[in-house]
Parts: sequence; structure tokens; C-alpha cells
Amino acid sequence: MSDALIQVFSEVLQVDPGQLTDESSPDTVKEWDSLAAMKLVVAIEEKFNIRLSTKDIMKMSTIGRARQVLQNKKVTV
Amino acid sequence: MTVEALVILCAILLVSYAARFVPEPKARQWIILAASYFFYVHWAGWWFLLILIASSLLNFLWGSLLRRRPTPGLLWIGVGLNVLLLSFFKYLPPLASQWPGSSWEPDFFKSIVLPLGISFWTFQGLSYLFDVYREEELDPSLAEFCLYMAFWPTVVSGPVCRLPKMLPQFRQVENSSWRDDFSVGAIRIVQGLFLKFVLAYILSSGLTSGAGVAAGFDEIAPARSGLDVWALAIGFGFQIFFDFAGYSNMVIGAARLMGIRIPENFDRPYLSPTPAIFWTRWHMSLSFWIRDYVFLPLAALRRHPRWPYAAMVISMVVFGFWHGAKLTYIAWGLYHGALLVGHRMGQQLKRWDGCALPQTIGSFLSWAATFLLVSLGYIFFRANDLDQALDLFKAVLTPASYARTTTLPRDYYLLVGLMAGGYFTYAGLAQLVALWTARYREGVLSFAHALSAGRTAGRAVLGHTVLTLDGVVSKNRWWLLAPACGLLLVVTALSFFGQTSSIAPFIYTLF
Repeated sequence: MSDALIQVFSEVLQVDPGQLTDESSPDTVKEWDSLAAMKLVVAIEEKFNIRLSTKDIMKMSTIGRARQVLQNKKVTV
Repeated sequence: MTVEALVILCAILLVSYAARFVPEPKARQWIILAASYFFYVHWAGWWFLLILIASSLLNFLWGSLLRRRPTPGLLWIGVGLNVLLLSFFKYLPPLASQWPGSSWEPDFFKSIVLPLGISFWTFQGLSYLFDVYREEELDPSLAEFCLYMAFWPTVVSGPVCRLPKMLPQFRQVENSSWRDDFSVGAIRIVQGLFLKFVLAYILSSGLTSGAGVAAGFDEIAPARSGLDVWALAIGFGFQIFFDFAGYSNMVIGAARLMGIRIPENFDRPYLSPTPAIFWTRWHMSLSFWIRDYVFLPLAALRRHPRWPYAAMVISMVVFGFWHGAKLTYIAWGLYHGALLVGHRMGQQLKRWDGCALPQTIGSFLSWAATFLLVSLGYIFFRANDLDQALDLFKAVLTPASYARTTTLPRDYYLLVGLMAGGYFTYAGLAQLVALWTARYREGVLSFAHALSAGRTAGRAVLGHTVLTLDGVVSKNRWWLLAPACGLLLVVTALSFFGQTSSIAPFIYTLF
């Protein structure tokens, strides 16, 4: 799966998109550390032109959960 | 620990182990919960059990409320109640006693005793509230939640578990891998006993009397030389690692015997090439807790590019303060926050500057700097007060102090040298074996297959031997060896219990 959201994660984390799935999390992707998590927030906000709340950010514990957050904001990913 | 306590512990372990063969999850949960409460009463007493149950009920009810209305207001009230409970026992007595001109009745505060493991199970309760708030699908029954809070292997000193990982395991119906679980569990317990009762014990008390880490920090000594401080820092770094990793191994092993996998706490932390990676390998369950529930909400407040760095420093101060209301712990957290931010800024500078050392040299220097700086930080963690920590730090940073005669016994240097050398040799060899296995195992096995089909008896025997050895190692038949190792280690531990009462308690039971 290589969609717009995976692309953002791949670019920020500098990981091959083929290695990322909806189950990927900080536990499975070592590049996804604390500061990278905040870089991801900024990149997602810019890419999809949205504003994420603290709760949204806390929810994004996997790529799949991030996808759900975006879908709840009516973003097609 | 007395022999009686050891017998009770073994009985609890046996009952819990037997519970895994009970097919009905609810019955199994009740058995382990009863064992957990029995364990807690024995080591902490009835009053503290009541506090643990009260905290479990509070968080369970608040979680139910939060599930219906996941609002920030309700979350923060729940967090506040937990923090109040923790602060009353953990932070109020030391702060009140130090408050200048305090008119409070000091005897009242002196009478407050810290309930065993409160820092750990309070954080588990908090993580449940945060997880419900972020709308994770969690629907524990009261018994399941009480078991999560009181689960006996982790109730005293962690690892800090999360309900989303524990709940499916409490509910699993079929659990057929008892051989693997027994094998891995027994080996982890044996490893833990060895780390705590052999390595950490020797480091703390020394090869000879007065030549250990404890004496180095606690006995009054003339001004330390810079070299002494490095030796103390590295010595304590290994002591706390062996102590807490030993404890964690035993706990993970005990839970695994029941078929329950709890989070790891350590992953070769002293081989970390950067401070950031160190914090993904040291006290991992708490480190990830701080990342998810302190750093992220804090960092999310502002979008300024420097704000995450500030959030990181604050998070590390919280990490330090979690250990207790002492300036030394706050300084330790601050030191690590500065280290993490300094490393990130150094990385950015390197990218901007474009300068790069050959990779091998760069990796080695980065690892060595991380190990030494992390070790130096233990001065804050272990020093008896901030004055002692600053004196020791001053010695490290003053070049003239290195010209002073060393004040620590020669046996201490020998001990720290042996431990550090032994650990890094072991870790290096383990990495080489892993590398060798990944690269050459398949080749060796196909060669052994060819040999075993050979015509001469010698070649066939050699081929079969290699294949059998590989089978023993790779097919996880270690469980055949585990009972023997376990018996050996228990006998060793018992002989320690019998001969000396000077084995220090686990360091993290103090928090």
C-alpha cells in the first residue's frame, strides 16, 4: 500500500514506503521517535491542510489510527 | 528475603502457573487476581491493599465515565485524582519536611509510608484513562481491570504495562504453547537471578569489603579525583542496570510461565549509539509512557519548531521527578533532557556543515560518547544529595583533579574494569554470533546435510552432530536445560540468603 498518507510517513521518517503498513507504529519503526512524531504532525497538517488537536495527535499511535483521524476530518486517504 | 517469603513466592508462582491450564478465562483471572492480592498483602500489608483496590475502583469507574464522555475536562480530573493520591504518599512527606518555617505537624508526615509499587500501578491507571480518552477500544470487566492493576509479577516495580496489550492475554481461551513459555520463562528467571544476585550484588558490595559502589558513594572520603568519579559513575551504571534488568528479567519470566507476555524494559542500552536510542532501550516501559502521555500532549500544544525541544526537556524532568522528590532526580532528568536536545542540535549542525567522519570511526565515537555521558549522568541519580553530585561533577570537569591520587581502592577499579570489559566482550560476541547466524547458518546447514548423507562414517557423524546441535539451539529445546539451571541458581540464591543479610533490596522497589 503506498498512498498519500504512507508517502508522508515515508518522507518524514526516511523509510521505504514498502516497509510501512497501517499496523506500523513507533514500536515497529525505529525512526518514528518522539521528535519524528511531531514532524509527522506538521507534515500531515501541511499536506492535507488541516489542524490536528492534542487528542488527534494522541490518537495517532499507528498509521492506521492516523488514517482514521484523517477520515473523521473528511480527508480522503 | 527470608526462606518463608521465598516459599510463599514459589507457592504463588505455582498456583499462577497452574492457572494457565484452567480453560475458562474468567476463572483463570480470579485465580491470578487472588494470588496477586495475596502477594500484595504479604509484602505490603492490608492497608496498602485497600489503597490499591481504591485506586483500581477509582480508575475503573472514571474510565467508564470517560468512555461515555471523552472530554479533556473529565480526563484531567481523573489524572488530577491519581496525581493527588501519588503526591500524598510520595511527594508530600519529603516536601513538607523541607518546607522552611513549616507549621505543619511533622509527626503526621513522618507516619506516611509509601505504598509498595504505587508509582508503577498509578501510572498504569493513568495510561488506562489516557487510552480511553483517545478512544481505544477497551471494555475491561472490573475483575480484569483489578488484575491489570495488581498483577503480581509487575505490581511492585513494573514494567509499566498497558491494558490494550494485557486484556487480550487475560481473555485468551486457548493457550497451547506451555513448552515454549516454560522454556523462555525459566531462562529469563535464571538470567535475572544471575544479574541481581551475582553481578549487581558484587558491584554493590565489592570484591573485598569497602571496595564496592555503595562504599564509594556513601563513605566519607577526601576529594575525589576525576578518574574516581568516572569509575564510580560507570560502576553504578552497571550496578543499576544489572539490578533493574535482573528484576525485569525475573518478572517477565514469571509472567511468561503463566503464558502472559509483558513489555520488555531493557534492550542492550549500553550499546546505544545515541542518547535518543538509549531512551528507547532503557527502562523502556516508563520511557514509552512518558513519550505517549507527557511528551506528545505537551509537544502538541504549540507548532513552533523549537517547542518540541522544550517539551522534551520538561518530559525528562518529569521522568526524573517520578523517581522521587529529590533535587538530584530533577537534575538527572534535566541533564538527560539537555543531552537529548544537544544531540539533536549536533545532528542538525552536522547536516548543515556537511562534515562527516568515516562511518566506523563515527559510529564508535558516537557510541563511546553516549556511554560515557549516560554513565556520568548517574552521578546525579546515585549521589546522596545535590552538593555531593556537584562536587563529583566539578572533579570530572576540572583537569587538575586528574592529577590527584585516586582515592578508591585498587580492587574497585579491578571490579569495574572486569564488569565493563566482560559485558562489552559478551555483547560483542553475541552480536558476532547473530551476524554469523544470519549470514552463514544456511550454508553450514546445507553442507552438514551433504556430509550426513556422505559415505564415510566420520563425515556422516560430523554432519549429524552439526544438525543435532542446530536443532537443540534453533528449535527452542532450551527448556530441557532450564530446570537444571533454575535449580542451580535457586540453590545459589538461597546460599546468599543464608550466609548474608547484606544483599541490597532491588533499587526500583524504592520508587
